[in-house]
Amino acid sequence: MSDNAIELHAVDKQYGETYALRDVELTVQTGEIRGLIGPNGAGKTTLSAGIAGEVPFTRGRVRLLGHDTTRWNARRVARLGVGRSFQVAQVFDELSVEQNVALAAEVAGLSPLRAVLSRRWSPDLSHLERVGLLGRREVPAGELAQADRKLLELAMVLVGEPRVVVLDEPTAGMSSQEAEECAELLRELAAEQELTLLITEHNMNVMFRLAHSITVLVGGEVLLTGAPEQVRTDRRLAEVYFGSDAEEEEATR
Amino acid sequence: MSTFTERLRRHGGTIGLIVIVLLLDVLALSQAGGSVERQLFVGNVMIQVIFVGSVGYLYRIVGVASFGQAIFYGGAAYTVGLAAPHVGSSTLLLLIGVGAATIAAAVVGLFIFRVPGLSFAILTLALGESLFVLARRERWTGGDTGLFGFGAGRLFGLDISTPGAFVASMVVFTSLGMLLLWWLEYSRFGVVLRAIRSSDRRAAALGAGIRTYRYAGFVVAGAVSGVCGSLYALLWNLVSPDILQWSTSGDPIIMTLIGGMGSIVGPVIGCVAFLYLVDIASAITDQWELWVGTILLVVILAAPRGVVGLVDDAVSRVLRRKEEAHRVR
Repeated sequence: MSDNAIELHAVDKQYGETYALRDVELTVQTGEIRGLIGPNGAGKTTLSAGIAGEVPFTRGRVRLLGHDTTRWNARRVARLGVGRSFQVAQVFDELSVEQNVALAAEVAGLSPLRAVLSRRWSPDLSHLERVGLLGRREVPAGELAQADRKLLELAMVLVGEPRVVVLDEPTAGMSSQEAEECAELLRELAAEQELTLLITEHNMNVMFRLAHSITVLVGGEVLLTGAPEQVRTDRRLAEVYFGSDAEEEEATR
Repeated sequence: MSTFTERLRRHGGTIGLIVIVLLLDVLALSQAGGSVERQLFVGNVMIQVIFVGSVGYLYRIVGVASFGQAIFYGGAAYTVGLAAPHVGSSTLLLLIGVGAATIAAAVVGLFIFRVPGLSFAILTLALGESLFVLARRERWTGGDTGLFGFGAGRLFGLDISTPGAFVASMVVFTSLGMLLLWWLEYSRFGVVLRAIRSSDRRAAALGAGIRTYRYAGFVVAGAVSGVCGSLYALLWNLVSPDILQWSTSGDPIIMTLIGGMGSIVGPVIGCVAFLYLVDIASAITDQWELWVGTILLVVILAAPRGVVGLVDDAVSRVLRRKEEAHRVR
């Protein structure tokens, strides 16, 4: 078994004639925090969905935690220990915050037969406390503000004790202070639980402070991978963001 | 928000259900000594509320619109009718009917969950209609007349030999049926299904067996419909092809719309309201369908969330006013 938590080889994702991803090679070591950046439409979300087994890649191979998961569906990938959050937080609106977390912790191995025999959940609320939502545990998740939905989703992902977590813009919709707190929390959690994180993010401040290394995706292809400092000063990145796509950088501020 | 309001909101469905079931029980007991016609009517109401509850469960919790619940309801009734000459015990007849409905739901579910949304609804409708045509054509199902004369006796030790006794016994069965539906909604099983309905992507990303749960939900709802179909056969002592017709599947959907899709009490209230509306209108005029239709149109336009929605709004308004008054003081 290798030390790599995530390995993508020659991955393509095609929608008809259009390539959303083309010949992507990506290797993330166990315990690494990898940032994934790039302008809108670069294929970041497609990459996350593909790794999580939600939308299969057209070509190429995926290895997660030493298993070839290329043909696996989302449920199987999740059960292997790969958690994921969505760009627009996906939580269960009509259930309470507490129920969301309890369900997240137990649902993976819960057969319908066992589920029908009991009403009791035994929620581990420590993750809810960690993200600062313990006080709102009885509120329906649908009533939470955008930033809190993101945090709830994070707690739901972590409560399943994953080893690899794919986070699609974890700080989207947060104020800059909330975003920094969230980044700090992610750093702590990753260190404590020896998580491997793959994070896509628009907030560059967060990204450069959080990631051990960064991959830049442009037009579905990997432009470069390197340490944050190296990437930050790379001329090609400046071209992508401040050259042709300067307006877009504005928009994400 | 006060904790009282929150608690009321969280348990509103359960409280409403308890109240309506108690009212139904009182109604049944008060009619048990009435004319046979009234007994049959109320007995039917007591059965239909569970049936409509199972259709509402499918829609609201499992998240599929079935237009073919008559397959399991009517199928169970026919099974009881066909088995009656060979089986003496009503209890056994009921179990056979439910078993048949469950197996039918398990088989239909295998195929039907491969198709999405509207196609699903149409497929269930087509299947139901096929059974309807079949039942009318075949001699062994009694053709247009159907099957009749399979007398009742005792069901799980309770007397159902006359319509009056049946209605009194339904107090127990309806209460248990409602308890079952409540459990299916509020147990972990129901919570997982509601979660899947709310976000199947999130559920899959958490490793939930989405297809297994929805399939199980479909089969369970089919089984509950089967209980109702069997009870129907035992109440009327006859089964005719009408029970397989699409209106048997369609009426519960209309009833659910009247009562409100949003909560567990909605379908039950809608069912009682609809059946009484038809009962009263048909006693007054021959063109009752026209009047019922018009009233339904008005209700659905005026209260898109059904009767329960109206009550919910009214209660919220009162509570809000109270809170404001409290704050001012």
